[in-house]
Amino acid sequence: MKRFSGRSIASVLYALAIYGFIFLPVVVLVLFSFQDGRFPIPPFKGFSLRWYEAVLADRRLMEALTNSLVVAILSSAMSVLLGFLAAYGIARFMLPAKGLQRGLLTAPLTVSYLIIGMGLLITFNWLGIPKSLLAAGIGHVVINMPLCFAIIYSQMGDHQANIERAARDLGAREWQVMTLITAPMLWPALFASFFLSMTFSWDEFIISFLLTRFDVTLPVEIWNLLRSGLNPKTNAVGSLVFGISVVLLLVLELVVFRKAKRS
Amino acid sequence: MTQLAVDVRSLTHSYGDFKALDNVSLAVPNGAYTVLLGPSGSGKTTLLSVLGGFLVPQQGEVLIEGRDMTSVVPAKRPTTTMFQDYALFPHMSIADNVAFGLRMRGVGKKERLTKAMEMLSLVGLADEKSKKPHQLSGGQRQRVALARALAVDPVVLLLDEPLGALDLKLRRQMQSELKAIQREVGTTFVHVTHDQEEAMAIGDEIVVMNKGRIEDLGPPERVYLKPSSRFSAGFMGQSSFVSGTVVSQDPQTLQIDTVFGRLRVPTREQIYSAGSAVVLSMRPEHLVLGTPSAINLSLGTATIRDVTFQGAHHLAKLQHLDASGLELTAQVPQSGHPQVGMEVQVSIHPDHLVILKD
Ligand SMILES: Nc1ncnc2c1ncn2[C@@H]1O[C@H](COP(=O)(O)OP(=O)(O)OP(=O)(O)O)[C@@H](O)[C@H]1O
Ligand SMILES: [Mg+2]
Repeated sequence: MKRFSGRSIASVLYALAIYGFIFLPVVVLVLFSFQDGRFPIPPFKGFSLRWYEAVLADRRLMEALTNSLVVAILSSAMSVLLGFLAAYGIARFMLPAKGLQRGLLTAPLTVSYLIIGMGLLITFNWLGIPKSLLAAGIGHVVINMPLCFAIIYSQMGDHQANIERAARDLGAREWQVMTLITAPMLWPALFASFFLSMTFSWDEFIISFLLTRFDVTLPVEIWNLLRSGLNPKTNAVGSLVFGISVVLLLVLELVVFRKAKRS
Repeated sequence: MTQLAVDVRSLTHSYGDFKALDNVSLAVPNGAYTVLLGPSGSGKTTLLSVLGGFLVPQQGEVLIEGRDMTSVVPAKRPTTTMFQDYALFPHMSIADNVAFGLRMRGVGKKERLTKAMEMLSLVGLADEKSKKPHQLSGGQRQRVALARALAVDPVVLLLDEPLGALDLKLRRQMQSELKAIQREVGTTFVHVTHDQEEAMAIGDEIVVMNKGRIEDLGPPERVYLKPSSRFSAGFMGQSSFVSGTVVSQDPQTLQIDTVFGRLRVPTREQIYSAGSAVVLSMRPEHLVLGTPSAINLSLGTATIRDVTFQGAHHLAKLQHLDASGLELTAQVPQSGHPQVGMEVQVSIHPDHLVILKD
């Protein structure tokens, strides 16, 4: 038992500190969403679900939640579709300045959401496109498409190219190659990029904040709520947002990464 | 007129400065099993890609059953390709893989699955129809690829080193199966390999390629026994080469000066002018050791330098006594007991001597 040297104790403490630092805020958030009282601050007065009831009864919050889901699903689907088409084009066809095009497609990954949001705001203003969920959705496609492209492109190898060639040889037209061969072969990548996009779109704030007005997404509505001060209801809705993100990641983990490990 | 399945005329194709195909013309009759044989980089795959439509040649034309296909896309050609890595569709069952080509041609589900089963029976895989490709062995995958390519009844089936990934035993077995299947379906096969034994075992016609050109072309026996170029003689099996100079040719004999004296060879069809340089090519199994019979051409005396036992026979490396530096390889029967250091007389039957322009 002398093995527990000072060093290993130190590293255990260090690990605890790291995980505490990462997870403590979330734990506090979730814990006080069950607070049986008016303030989400210690002491914890008892367990109650009434703030969740309040959230579910709040029409505006529920509308915002639906908006968020719709925006997340549609913008993610669009990002995957565009990312897939771009990856297919760049991986399979002779294009001028291929490296540059690939770089331009992934460049938005390095630009901050604030800059992208402001850029879109100015552009939409200039084009006369009003602030709306559609505008926010377009914003989410802008941030997620590069990610989808990068994930899908990385999975398009030479072996797959040969399989596509075989399909063409057997008479498949280009759209048939894409829908019957390439997409099914790449489905883990497509699925992964879809769910990652969903998680990013789901709790994205700054772009939605800049580009929506009357109908807003859930993070924006939560921000509105926060302006009138902290109360356990904000904790409850925050916990809901967190819970749904966790579910998305779990689906991703179980369906995609487990599958990939097995095959 | 017998239909030509494939008729390619003066194909030239370069990658940058490098000529991968250099003025290649080739006619493949309908129903033939043609093998493209050549060393790595000789342009076999390039030629096959041109036939399959994956590559449009810079010069020349490709006719398939008399129709110009030079720049027609693979999907619209009456050819199918069997790829070396099989390229099966990993997400589809074996039956769906085989039926894919028919599906693309708008054949109904029931009909195409019936045909797929027919093809799978042909290659002996009817029981595996609902498995996925990754559940099959290499040899089985290869058969699926064959069935898939044949299911659409192509005019020409192109096979690029189809047996390259298999171990030797399976390879020999698949060779005879491929040939048997080809006979049964009657489709024209064009098969690429760099294995000369495979080429001889399987081909009705062998096309020997080197540096983007066709060196030799004909039935295996002809190409082996009477190769028409030095490259072809050396690539198709072993040969000993001796250079010589033509002294004269009259209606009866051709006289050639060589390092081991003047050879008098009964005249061939080909006419040589005096002074022209030639190369004599001799197969190991044609060199006779021991006192020459009256009809054989004597090649002098040599010392056995090295003997390797090959199972069916011994292979002896001989060092010629008069011409140091000249090495001959001769085959000795199993029971021959050749001893290293022995001196032997070497001769060859005149019909077995191959004379090539140098
Ligand atoms: N896409 C390409 N770009 C540049 N050079 C190429 C390309 N494809 C082939 N080559 C060159 O052309 C030559 C012929 O290639 P090819 O693939 O036809 O040879 P091969 O006879 O099939 O050889 P192997 O037995 O190795 O498959 C080779 O020297 C190769 O390096
Ligand atoms: Mg090749």
